[in-house]
Amino acid sequence: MGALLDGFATALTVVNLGWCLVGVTLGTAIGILPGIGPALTIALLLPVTAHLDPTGAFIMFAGLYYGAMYGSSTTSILLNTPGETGSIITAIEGNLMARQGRGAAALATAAIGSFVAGTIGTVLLTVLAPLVVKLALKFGPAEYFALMVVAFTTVSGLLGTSRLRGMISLFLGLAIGLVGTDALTGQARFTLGILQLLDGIDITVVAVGLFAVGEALYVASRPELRSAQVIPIKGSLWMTKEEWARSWKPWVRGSFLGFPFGALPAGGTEIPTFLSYFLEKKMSKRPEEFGKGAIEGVAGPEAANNSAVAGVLVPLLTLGLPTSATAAILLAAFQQYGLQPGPLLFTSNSALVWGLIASLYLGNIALLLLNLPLVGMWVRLLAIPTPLLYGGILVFATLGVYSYNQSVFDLGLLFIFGIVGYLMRRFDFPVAPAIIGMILGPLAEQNFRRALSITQGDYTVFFTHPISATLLAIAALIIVAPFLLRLRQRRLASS
Amino acid sequence: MKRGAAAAELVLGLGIAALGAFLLWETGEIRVSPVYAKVGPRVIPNLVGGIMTALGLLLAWQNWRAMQAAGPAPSRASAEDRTDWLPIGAIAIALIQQILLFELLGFMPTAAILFYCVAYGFGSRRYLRDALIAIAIAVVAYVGFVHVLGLNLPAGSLFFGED
Repeated sequence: MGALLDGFATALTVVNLGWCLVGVTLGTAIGILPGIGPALTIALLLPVTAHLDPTGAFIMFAGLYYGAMYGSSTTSILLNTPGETGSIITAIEGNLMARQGRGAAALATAAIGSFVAGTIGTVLLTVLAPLVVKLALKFGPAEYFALMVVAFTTVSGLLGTSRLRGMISLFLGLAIGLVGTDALTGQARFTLGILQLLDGIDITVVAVGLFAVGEALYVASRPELRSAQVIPIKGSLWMTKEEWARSWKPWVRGSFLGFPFGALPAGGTEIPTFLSYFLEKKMSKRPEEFGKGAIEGVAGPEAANNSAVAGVLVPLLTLGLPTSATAAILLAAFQQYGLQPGPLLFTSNSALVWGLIASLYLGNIALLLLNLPLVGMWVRLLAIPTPLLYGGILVFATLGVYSYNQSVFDLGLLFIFGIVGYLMRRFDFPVAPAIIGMILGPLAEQNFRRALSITQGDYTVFFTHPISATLLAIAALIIVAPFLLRLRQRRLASS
Repeated sequence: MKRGAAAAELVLGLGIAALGAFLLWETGEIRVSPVYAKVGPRVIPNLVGGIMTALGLLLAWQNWRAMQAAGPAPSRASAEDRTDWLPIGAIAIALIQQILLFELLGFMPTAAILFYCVAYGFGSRRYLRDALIAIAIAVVAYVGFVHVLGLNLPAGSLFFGED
């Protein structure tokens, strides 16, 4: 508790409050604009923030991550295109409400639900983080490696449409992560004799290529994706008594559903929104309204995606384990400052960590004000014609990538990863596993080899340490379980 | 699954397998000092290359089976699967010109061309408006990032000489 109060002292300085406001405002904007998400934006901001004070930079990044979740619901409701993947469900039910002239109520329940969930999620983060830190202090290299293997299996198995596609995406990321000088022996790996590759490939280049360039190529190639109709806001932003009564339970349920999905390495914000939607449909007295614009179907999922974001911060800060693409890029940002998230960060940089957590409470309040009374202003962003929007995105994407190393070679790499990103979108491969694999792969390899050098190359170390053995068993189960289930189904079907 | 899509994915799977095989081959080129021979710099690359090859072959095999099951090819791909190649070409040219001309012409002209081509690729045909916005964005971005934020962007060696 004392640590949190100190955190508020850090977060409430004029400078850090300023960064928090910059973050939430920018986050709302990029959440609303289709085609840019928090992962891409933070990757693009890395060169600009390299010289900033890390506390201010992370307060801005976290505000941006929260803000993107708020903003994306506005786009989903008024445009029927999810601003981010966590808002796919909102894009269905919320857009139907908007079509019936209840857009204002949908926006209100999404914004207030996001606030409730963001606050509940941040409270859970405050309480749980110190507990996880205590556990994490017992972790050695073998345990960290096993934990990362679990993260690899879950992100590739649970994100996207098929496990095989997720795995391929993950291994693509792992391969990219291997390029460069081996950290332990100094040997060049996969550099093909190219000097610029000795330092490895920067996450900015890969993330911007896969997200911005790949997305632009894909959207441009699909005429049906190029244009969309914005529905004007109708109705009152003040929800009626009935709307409040129907919203508050889904908010709370969504909050507690979303948080664990973010916190466990179980893959981001999409899954809890779907679960919340089906849960609300099942519990509703009017299930027939679902699919026609039921307010519960907006309130629950919007709460779930916001508290999942708070959940993602638990393993990221306490273990250094990213469970979403944005978290992977945040981890890269920590590395840029020479910081390694994990239990030690809580003692060595306690002002940064707790300042960051405290700023989330403040950011949530700012976001509620930005997204409810001022929503009319933000909606104007949706009036930007798509051709100009993507033109601008690519200009800033190339600018950001070039300025990171002042290297035209990186622009060439950006083009190559843009084509890879296009192919991934075209053939429905999820991008997040590649980003996570690229950032987490080198850390996993270091822990793997450290564990083995302690035991002189004895591989049993991963199975004799109880925590490591349990984690690896979980990972094996995640890989094998679906096959066993399918086998059983087939057997049941044939008998 | 449609036969055309399966064929495309079959090729994709083989491509991924080839990439995995290339990783395995390149791993053999990594020098290993005898001290690290046990868990040296080759262990994980071999694992990654090996599994990637297997995954690529699996994708190819799945799609090959899907093709066998689907029977003869339908006459045409459905409309929703259609890909417009003109926008892709426009954006690709925009990015390639920037790579080739970035240092010679500098950030501003190449960024303006990039913006214009992307807008064109996305179907905008308001040529004058797009050109004016392209120039404005390139200039504002250059001034903002170089003079306000202090980043280094090339001004163009053709106009300003080598630094």
